[in-house]
Amino acid sequence: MFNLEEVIEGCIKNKRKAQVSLYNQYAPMLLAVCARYVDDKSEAEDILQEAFFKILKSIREYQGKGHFENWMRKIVVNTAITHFHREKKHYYHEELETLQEVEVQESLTPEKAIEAAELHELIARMPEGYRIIFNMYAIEGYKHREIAEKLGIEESTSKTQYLRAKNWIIKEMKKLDWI
Amino acid sequence: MEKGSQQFEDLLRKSLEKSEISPSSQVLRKLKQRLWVADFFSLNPRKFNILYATFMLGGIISATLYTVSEDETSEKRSPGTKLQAKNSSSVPIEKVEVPEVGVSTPDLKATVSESPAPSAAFEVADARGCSPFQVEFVNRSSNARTFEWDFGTGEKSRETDPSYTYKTPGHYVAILKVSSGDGRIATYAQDIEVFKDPVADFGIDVNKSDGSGKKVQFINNSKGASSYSWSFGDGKTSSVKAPEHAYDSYRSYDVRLIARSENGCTDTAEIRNTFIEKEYRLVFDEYFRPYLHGKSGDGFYERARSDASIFGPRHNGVKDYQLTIWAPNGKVVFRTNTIRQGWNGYWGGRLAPQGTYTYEAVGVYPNGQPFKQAGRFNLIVEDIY
Repeated sequence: MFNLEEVIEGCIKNKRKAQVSLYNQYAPMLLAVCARYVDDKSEAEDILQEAFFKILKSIREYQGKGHFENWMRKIVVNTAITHFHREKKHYYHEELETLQEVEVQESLTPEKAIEAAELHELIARMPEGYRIIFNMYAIEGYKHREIAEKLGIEESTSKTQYLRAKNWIIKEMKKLDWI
Repeated sequence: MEKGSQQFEDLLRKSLEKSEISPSSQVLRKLKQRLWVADFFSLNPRKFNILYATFMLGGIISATLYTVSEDETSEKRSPGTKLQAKNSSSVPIEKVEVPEVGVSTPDLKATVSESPAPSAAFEVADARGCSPFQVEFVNRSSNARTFEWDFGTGEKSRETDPSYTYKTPGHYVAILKVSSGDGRIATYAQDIEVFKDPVADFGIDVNKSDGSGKKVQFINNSKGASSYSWSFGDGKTSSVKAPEHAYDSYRSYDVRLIARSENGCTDTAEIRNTFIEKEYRLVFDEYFRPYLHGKSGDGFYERARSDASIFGPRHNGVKDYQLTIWAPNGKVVFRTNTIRQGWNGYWGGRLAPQGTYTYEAVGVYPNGQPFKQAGRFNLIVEDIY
């Protein structure tokens, strides 16, 4: 039986068994988070490995406040952001006037439940330029202000990029008849 | 629009809420390695001994990392390590990286010094001794390159295992300061005590010795001693402090006294040819001219016979002395029992008549040897001027 409290306790004491147990329990979920930030699975695994290392090294700092999963997710996302900074693949130099206002459809209710795997595939296809902002805003629930801070960009850039991402994904979903 | 937008994000979140992707086994393997290395460094930051195998260009040493615990010599090999050295020759190792494990992160770097800190130590066979006290310092320092000895007397040495002789009794602190060569130092100190020496000294108590040599009483004037070894020169010995010894005869003997202090320090006093060392004698003049115009005192004098108007012997030490002087007619004109008194040439309140007088001195020399010396002298009362 997986007992979170016991496992956390074990991890604090650097017990290998507890660390592996924690990993086995959460790695798939956290890898799914990582995978949304990069388009390559091995890259996502690198982020996961890095993030899990941080989790295990700083687990004693988890005070039991808030949801443990959320605490781990934060570390994963931060690691992904660090990775993003390190890779320096992305630049935000687009001029505001090139942006078009995005028309958001009245109803976005899907006709059927969207499969997570399919949605993952879709996000993986999203242009890198807006994927990270899309993930942080739409999935992780960060505010544009926070995203701007973390990525070192203007808040307006975050908003604009998010709108582009959303525009893109809705278009794609429509193509797939999801909405 | 806002509402619709929010719905959209909720939708995505809901769809992804339970999403999972199975990581490949690589991830867990790498993670375990990283944890192992990180723990290794954090738990053993000071337990590294080196550990290097080959040198590569650019001062990088490709090495095998071992841990050597204090009580065991077993070695554990870490998964692929690279040690980065400051310069190609050897030391000190500054950083350890484990590139195989993945991204090199600051967590994986550990500062490792090539050599453990120096320690200073030395041994001496004896820290306390008699003067002159020669101390052989045996260096037991480790990881030290240079040595600086301070013997506590103001004298210093840079030898590894110096030898030093303390000449003066007293308490000293010998200090060894070692340096590893990279600025780290260690010191060690030890007390050295040089005992006070006894002083051996002896003489012969003539008052308690007889003149024959059958009974010689020695006086022990030694200082700082608690035990004694006498050898009387005739093959006999004694450990009495102030022994009495019987010789077969007066001859020249070498008497030796070894005085020993409580700490075992010794001093030796020796008198060679003890009984003839001083040629004891009495010398009488052949002529004597008293003071012609009345008595010149009662004849007592101090130390040497300086007054020519007093008759008595020159001497270098007597004991039990008696001098008797006879007039030419055989009558005793003077007798004394002290060497400090001579004859003033008067007898019965009047100047004794000119003539040849006889004297006899008997007694014992300070070494116990008896003497008897007799002779004649001319008393002259004519005024030659």
